[in-house]
Amino acid sequence: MAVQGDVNTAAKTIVLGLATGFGAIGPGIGVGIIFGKTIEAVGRQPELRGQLTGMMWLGFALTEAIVFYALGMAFVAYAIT
Amino acid sequence: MLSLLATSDFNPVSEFTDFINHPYVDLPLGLDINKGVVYLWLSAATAILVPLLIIRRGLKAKPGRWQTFLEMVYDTAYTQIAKAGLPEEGMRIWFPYVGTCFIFIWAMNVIGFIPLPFSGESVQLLGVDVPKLQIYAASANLSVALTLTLVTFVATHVEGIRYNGVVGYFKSWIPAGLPPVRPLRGGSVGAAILFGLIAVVEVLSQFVRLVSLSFRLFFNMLAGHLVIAVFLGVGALMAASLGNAAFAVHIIGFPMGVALYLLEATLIAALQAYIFAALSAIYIGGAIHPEH
Repeated sequence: MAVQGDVNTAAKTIVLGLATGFGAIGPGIGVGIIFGKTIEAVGRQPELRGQLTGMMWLGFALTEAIVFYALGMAFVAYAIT
Repeated sequence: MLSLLATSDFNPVSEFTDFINHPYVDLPLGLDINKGVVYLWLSAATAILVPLLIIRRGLKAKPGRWQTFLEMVYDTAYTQIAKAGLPEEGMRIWFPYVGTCFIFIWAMNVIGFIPLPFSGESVQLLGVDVPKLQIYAASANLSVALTLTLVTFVATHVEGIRYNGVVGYFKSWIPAGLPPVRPLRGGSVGAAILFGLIAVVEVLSQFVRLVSLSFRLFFNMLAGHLVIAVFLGVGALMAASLGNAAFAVHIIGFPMGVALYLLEATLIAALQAYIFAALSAIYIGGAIHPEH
C-alpha cells in the first residue's frame, strides 16, 4: 500500500506518542516504588498509617507531574514545528 | 469539550482553545466573559454556598451525612494540609488561605466532570435546539493555575521577608555548613565559586516551583479530560478511516472512558486540590521558618 497524506504530520504524531510514552516510564517506576514502600512501612509500623498516607500522596503527585512535563513539551514540539 | 453527540470533525485539543475566540460577552481589555469565566464563577459559588448551606441547616452533636462530610473536609484541611506545612504563628493567617485553595480547586475540578450546557453550540433534536452538553474544567487552563500559583509565590516571599527581614530571608536560601566566603579578607576562590553556584541553583529552584505547581494542576486536568475525550470519542475519530469497523473500537473504548472518568472525577480531582494546598502550605511555612 502506497503512503498517502501528510508525512510531516504523521511523523509529528508518532514523535508525540513516543515522547509521552518514554516520559511515562520513569514516573511509572517511581509511583510504583512510592506505593510499595508505603505499604512496606505501614506493614512494619501500622500506627504511623495516617502520617505515611499523607506523605505518600504528596510523593505520588510530585512524581506523577513528571509525566505531564513530558506531555507538555511534546505538545509544544508538536505545535511549533 | 466532550460533546454528547460527537461528530466526525471532532478535535480534542481545539475544544480547549476555541472558546477564547467565542466569548458570550465581548468586553475591552480582554475582560471577555467566556466559558472559562463562567466556570470560575460557578466554582466560586459552589465553594462558598455548599459549606454555607450545610452549616446554616444547623450543626448537630450527632452529625448527619453532610455534616460528617464537611467535618472530614475541614479536618483534612486543618491537620493534613495546614498543620503539616505551616508553623504555629503562620496558622492564623495562612490556614484560611490554604483551606480556601483546597476547597476552591476541588470545586473547580469536580465541576469540570459534570456535563453542563455551556458550550455555546446547540444541536437540532426533534426540531428543538438543545444545547450540547460538555465537560470542561476551569483549572484545565494555564491562566487559572498560574494565577493561583502566583498568589502562593508572592505570599511565600512576602511572609519570608516579613518574619526574617530581607537579609535574613535571602541568607536562609543558602544551606548551612558551606565554607565561609570572605572576599575582602583573603577567602578561598573555591568557596566563592561554590557559593555562586549554589546561589544560582537556589534562585532557579524558586522559579521552578512556580512552573511545577501551576503545570501540575493544569496538565493533570487537561490530560484527564483529553484522555476521557479520546476514549469516549475514539470510534467517532476513526469512523472516517474504518467505516463500520469503528463500532468495534467503540466497544473497547467506551468502558475504558467510563472507568477513567470515574477515576478522574473521584480521586484525581480531590488529589490535585490537596496537593496544591499542601505544597502552598509547605512553601509558605518554609519561608516563615527557614530552618525547618
